[in-house]
Amino acid sequence: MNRLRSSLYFRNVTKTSGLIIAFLLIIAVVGALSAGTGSSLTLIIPNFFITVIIVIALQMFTGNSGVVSWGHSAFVGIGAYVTAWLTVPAVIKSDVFDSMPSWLLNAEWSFLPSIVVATAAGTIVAALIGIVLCRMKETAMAMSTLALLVIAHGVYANWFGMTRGAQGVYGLPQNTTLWGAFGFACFAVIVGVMFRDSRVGLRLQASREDPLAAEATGVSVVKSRYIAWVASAALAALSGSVWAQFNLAFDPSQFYYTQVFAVLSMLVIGGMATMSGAVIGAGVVTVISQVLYNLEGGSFFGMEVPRISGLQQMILAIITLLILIYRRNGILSWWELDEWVRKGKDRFFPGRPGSGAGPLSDKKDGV
Amino acid sequence: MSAAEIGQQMINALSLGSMYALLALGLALVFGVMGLVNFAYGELLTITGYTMYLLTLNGVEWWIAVIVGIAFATIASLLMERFAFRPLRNASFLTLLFSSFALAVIIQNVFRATVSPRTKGIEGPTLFIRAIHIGPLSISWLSIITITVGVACLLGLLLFMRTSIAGIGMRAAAENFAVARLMGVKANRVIALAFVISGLLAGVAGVLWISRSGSVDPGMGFTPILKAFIATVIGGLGSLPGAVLGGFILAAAEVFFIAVLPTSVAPFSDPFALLLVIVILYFKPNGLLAPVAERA
Repeated sequence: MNRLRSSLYFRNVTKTSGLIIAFLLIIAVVGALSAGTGSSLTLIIPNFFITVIIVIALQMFTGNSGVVSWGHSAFVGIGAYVTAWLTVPAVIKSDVFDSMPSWLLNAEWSFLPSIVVATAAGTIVAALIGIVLCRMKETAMAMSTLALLVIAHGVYANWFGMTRGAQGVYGLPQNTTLWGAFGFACFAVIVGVMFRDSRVGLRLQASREDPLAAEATGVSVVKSRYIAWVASAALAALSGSVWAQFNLAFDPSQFYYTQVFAVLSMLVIGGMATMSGAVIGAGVVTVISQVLYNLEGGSFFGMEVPRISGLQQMILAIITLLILIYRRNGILSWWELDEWVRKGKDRFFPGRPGSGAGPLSDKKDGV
Repeated sequence: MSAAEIGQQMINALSLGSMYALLALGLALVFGVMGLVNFAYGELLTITGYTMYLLTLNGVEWWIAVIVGIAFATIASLLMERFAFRPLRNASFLTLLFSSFALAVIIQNVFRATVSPRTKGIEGPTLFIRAIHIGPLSISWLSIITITVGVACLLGLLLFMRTSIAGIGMRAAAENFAVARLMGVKANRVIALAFVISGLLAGVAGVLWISRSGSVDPGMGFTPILKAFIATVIGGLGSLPGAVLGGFILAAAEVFFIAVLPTSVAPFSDPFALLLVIVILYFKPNGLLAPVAERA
């Protein structure tokens, strides 16, 4: 990477992630202020941050490569279960896990080490599966990630001795705080933006637009997809670990296609080409779900990654479909928040020198 | 395992396989002309199921309910094309897949909200439960009917695709849509026809599926679409013979693992079958009978 390109790269990364993080910070401050007031915001806001991590994980792969993955929830599950194995207090563990080896029974790990190991576990699984998956054509790969989701769900629901089957796991310590979740969300944003503008990211985007042309210019599509697959699965496992230590109990149905749909709809609504789109999508869906939830008159109560029941899910699906028909690239389309700000400036204060997107953010319109 | 058991399992695999083949064909047809993997295809089975449920609940004869159920699936398929997928013509694979997924969720929740979120039973004719005995084999009438209907549909479709003008047009459109249009194939008509046949197949498969499970619920479309998706991908997306082959291979794998695995790992038979599928795809990443030409 030459000096000009690398300085542009970091300027771009700083600008884009800086604005998103500022946006997240405002929300975090609102969350901090609402602490102790008994407001439901104390649950919604950390969950929103965790959702942001999941959506960015999916964006890293699907957004850059244009290959759909239904399988990321499987990795969220791996992160959550491994975390449960490591952190649940030994007293509860002997009740919850029937056939757990004794060395694991006594493990009572703290926040960060458990996240590291859970992420590593997800990464290893993804690295193995990715060898098979990334060789396939886009359509076959989409199907195989769906198969992966079903396989993972089958394992979570039936490996009774280690997962307690459909009854689910409980007893995790509450290690994730508002600021912990905020920190990891910021981490995800930075990783996501850096990845998108990195060499692998750019190659992937080339392959998204035209795999044959990308191959012809020397891009190894398989290799680029593999790297993105492993990296995004790692982030998904990380989000699962953080999520599990905030919600404290879970069961296999939470890593199945309801969650997959929720995450995909966030990505579609916000716009999957950009990091801002992923974050805004997560925000919009969280807000809509909350409003609908209140409209349904249900009492407000420990909500997980937006818990979507009948009406909420239907309305989200309708919004997703309308977005796909009328604004195919999502609310933010091809531009990050900072680029929208610049576009706005250009419109209202035309002719200022030095405005306009830099070379790395020249994105085409429409498609 | 004795010869009789093997024979029994083969009949199971055949009957399951003909159902999967029907499902996969409906999916492959639409993919062929439009490049869309229609996730809402599973919901066509749900529509058939609920039509039958509501009709039989109100005292309508089972056979009439079956016919109306299949008709509704066909109409629903046509409506889907008109209102959800026509505005998305020429969209990317990803956009089409997402919109069909969203459509599937909408339909599911309509049933969840209007009928009931719970599973409802549907009683089929008592004939289905009876079995005939040939030597050591006992074959249920449902298996016989499934295999017969499956084979009849396959042959009928084969005949249609080979001999009728519309069928040949559809095959041409699946091979190369732009050139087919230059040769005078009407785009809207061929796509609508693909959706009609796809809905018809889904309706027939839906009746068989429901007779097997004996119940309907709002989320019931997920398993059939999954099986159909897997079958078409094993066979090679876009290939109709491949879809049929894939359906039988998937059914054989499932029946095999259920028969062979010891009871302690029996719940994992589905994951094992899916792993086998992924292994097949590792060696044939484009499926067994993939069309040779690269789609533009």
